[in-house]
Amino acid sequence: MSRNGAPPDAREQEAELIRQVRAGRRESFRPLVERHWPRIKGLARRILRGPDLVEDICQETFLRAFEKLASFDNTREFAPWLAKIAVNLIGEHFRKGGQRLQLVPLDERVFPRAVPEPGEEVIGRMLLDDCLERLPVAYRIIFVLRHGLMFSYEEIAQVLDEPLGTVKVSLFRAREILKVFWAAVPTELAREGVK
Amino acid sequence: MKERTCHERLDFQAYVDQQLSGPEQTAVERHVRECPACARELERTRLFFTDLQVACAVGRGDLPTPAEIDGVMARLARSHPVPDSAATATAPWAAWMTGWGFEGWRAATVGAALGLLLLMVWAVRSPGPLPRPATPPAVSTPAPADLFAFTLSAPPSQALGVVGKPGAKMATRGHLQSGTVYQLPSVGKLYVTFKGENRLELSKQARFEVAGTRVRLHTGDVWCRLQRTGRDIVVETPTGTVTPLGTRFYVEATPRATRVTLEEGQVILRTRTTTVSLKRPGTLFMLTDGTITTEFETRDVAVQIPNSHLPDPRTLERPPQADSLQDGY
Ligand SMILES: [Zn+2]
Repeated sequence: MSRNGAPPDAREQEAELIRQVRAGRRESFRPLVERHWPRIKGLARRILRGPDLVEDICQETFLRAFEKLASFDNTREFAPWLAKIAVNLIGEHFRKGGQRLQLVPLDERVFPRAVPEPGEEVIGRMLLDDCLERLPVAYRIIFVLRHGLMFSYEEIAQVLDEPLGTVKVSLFRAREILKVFWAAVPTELAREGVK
Repeated sequence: MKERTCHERLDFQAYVDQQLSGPEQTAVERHVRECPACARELERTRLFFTDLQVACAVGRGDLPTPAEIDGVMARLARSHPVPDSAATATAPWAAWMTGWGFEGWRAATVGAALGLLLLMVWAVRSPGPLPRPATPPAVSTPAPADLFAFTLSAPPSQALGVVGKPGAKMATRGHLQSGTVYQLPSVGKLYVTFKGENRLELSKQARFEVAGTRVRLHTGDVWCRLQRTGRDIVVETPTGTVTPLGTRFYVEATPRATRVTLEEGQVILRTRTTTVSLKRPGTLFMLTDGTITTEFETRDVAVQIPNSHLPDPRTLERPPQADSLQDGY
């Protein structure tokens, strides 16, 4: 508890919980799991197919985190450290299938060419979901880390073990391509949100 | 058509992504103030980022079930059998924290009294800096001073107050200024229009301010009915932010939680640790520890959140007429 009587902020609370786990209080790990599960799952379910696999990766992430907790620098953010474990596990999963997590230059042919007919009940973000799903795994991970989990570029670079510049340029380029598809959809649908 | 051709090569993506230096940012802002084509392009880029955010947001389906948490803890217990004698000695606030799962409400009451006290102290101290930039566009694009027009509906004895200026009494109509914290009188409602066609209704003695296109609600509640042009509004509370997407929703800020009820459309809720996109009508709570939950127990809370508090949407369909304002009560 800090001097002025304010409740410790989330970060400080986390650091305290981590100290407790390291000191042998296993139960103190539970709130950490509760708090971080949604992010890890949000990441995993966008990358992996099948709820069982997603659940397995989530569980495994927290187990590994527990085991490696001694190596965590408790002055830093816990979320990126945890995300890195999840990403490594996802990487292992894809390696088994002969795939690698790499930020290969993006080929826009992965996206659907057909632009929906105007008047269809299609809006830009539905198309975005579709486009994101077609992206190579490493790109999907970056998108979720940046736009879903709001990680900084530095954090993303650490999570992916890629140079900061590569991360920035890749995401920038990927967004440029996505935006073209997004913009091709008649987003000015008057009915949306307007009665 | 002619205005579409602009030869400035401005990096709107980097601008919305907050990757530009101060001077670069200023250059973009200065240019879009004078170039409608680029202003439109910037707006498009912001919408694109908002859509990306929705596409990538952590959703309600990502919240853990008690069984999932138990599953992890059980596996830990099996693989790392340590005497857990210390667990019972966990600090009260930690136990309190632990209680904010989706079961554990009984555990929550144990530390709640202490937690509540601390939070009240914290809340009184200040609404606190809000966590990380919550939405991509914390953009300070040209925000004309008359973006928010207000009309107070209250008995003649009541006036809109300005926090820090005890004597100041505002007129019943006018425009909200950035940087001023307003205080609603004990009786009365404030009707606000944003960009002319988006309606906000503040009540419950709301204390709030506007900054750019943000509405910072310190306490009280706000009911919003937004059109497309209102999509860049963000409602900030001490516990998080609400980003709407063409929507009708209601936000109530109290020291311990922010209640967000969606009637139509979609909103993104963000706290310092969690992002949730609420896509169907319903209610979620953002708590001070960053969690977002579907339930919030009120019986141990000094600030009660009435269940039937939702204002009648019809009040928004029919904005107040100037001449009927003073006798509305
Ligand atoms: Zn221009």
